Amino acid sequence: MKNKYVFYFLLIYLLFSPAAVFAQEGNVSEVLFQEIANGKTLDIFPFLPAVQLPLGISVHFFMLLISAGLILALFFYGKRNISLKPRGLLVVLENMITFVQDDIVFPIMGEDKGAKWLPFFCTLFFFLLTINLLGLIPCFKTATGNINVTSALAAMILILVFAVGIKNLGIRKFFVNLYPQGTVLPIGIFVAFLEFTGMFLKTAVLSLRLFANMFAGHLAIFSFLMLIFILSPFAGIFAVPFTIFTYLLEVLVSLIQAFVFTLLSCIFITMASSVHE
Amino acid sequence: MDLFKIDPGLAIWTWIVFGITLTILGKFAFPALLSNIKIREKTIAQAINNAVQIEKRLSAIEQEQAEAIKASKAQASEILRQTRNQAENIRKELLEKAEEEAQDILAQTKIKIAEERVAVIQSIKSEIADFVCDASEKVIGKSFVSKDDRDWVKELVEIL
Repeated sequence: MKNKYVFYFLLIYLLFSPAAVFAQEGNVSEVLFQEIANGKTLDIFPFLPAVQLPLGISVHFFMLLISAGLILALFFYGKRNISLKPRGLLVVLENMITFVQDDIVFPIMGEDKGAKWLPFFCTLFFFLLTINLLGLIPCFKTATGNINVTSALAAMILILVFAVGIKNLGIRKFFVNLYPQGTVLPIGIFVAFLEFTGMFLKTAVLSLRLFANMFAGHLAIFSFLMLIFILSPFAGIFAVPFTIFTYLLEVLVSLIQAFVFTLLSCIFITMASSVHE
Repeated sequence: MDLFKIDPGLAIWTWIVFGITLTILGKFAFPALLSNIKIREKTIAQAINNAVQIEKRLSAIEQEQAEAIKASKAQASEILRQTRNQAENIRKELLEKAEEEAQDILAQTKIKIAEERVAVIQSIKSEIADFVCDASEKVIGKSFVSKDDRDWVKELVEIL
């Protein structure tokens, strides 16, 4: 029964949100990007005045803070209710930690090394997942739909790739490792160059993948809704089911993207400290 | 469109927020949660191990039980066979004994019958002798039979 009301609220919000902006702007692209882009104000409910965020902080930064707060609250709730027979939210939390441990970190890094890195990757996974899912709640926005946020996280991974690689192999061996042994000099140099640029490209792609997925997902949701205002109110017959489908798909995409980002980060960091044969 | 607008402030804040979250969680939440997960994993592994051991013991006990039942059945059938043999022997012995006793009784009875027969014949002869003497006295009309005569008649009847 409760879920039913949540669903109705969500639907009304999704329908009214672009309608409110459309009424003000009258421009489709403006409406679409205003719903996703960063800003200094937060629309709590359609047709109501937007709320100015304190201290001039941006919406996406505010979302980062909320995500961090939610993660901290969740983990401290878990710590407080720690038990050998977990119940409720603790089951979800522990299962997700175990998922990161058994399906991402331990198979790639091994148990000894993985145990040290587990808190980092768990935090990364939960951080991304919370930010991604937060954007699906009415009046919130997806911070991972901002290239600066995803780039910052990807840059952090790139720095870690270099730091871990240099720490484990030594600065000379780390760079020598890029050169394929037993190949002729010009090809070797070319491959080394590719390997080196590949490190940057891989992390750049990591950032773009997350950004594009989250941005495109939200754009698709609002695009379907905009059809109602562009074409006809009767377009809602098709637009609303498509929106709901895309919304549900977006929940799945949020999970998958958090998983993929964490998994690839783990692979890149592990690869940086392994010697190429 | 400010879709790709570079915002170093937001990027730095992303690092800071993530860093603070990681530090707090790494210091206060993860050690307890991960150790709890590890303890549970160990407990579950131990429970599974115990269950496997119990299963092994159970199957060994079942095997032992089956073997014991088999041995008991064999023992029972052996006891039954021995008991049957003993019963058969006892029955034979009893039958033989009964037959012997029957033969004894028959022999003794025959002897008794013979003795009885002799005694009866003797008694009949004595009666006949008395009857002859009484009949002779009545025919003659006087008592002529002394005790010696009677004995003589009896001896005569005996000879007959």
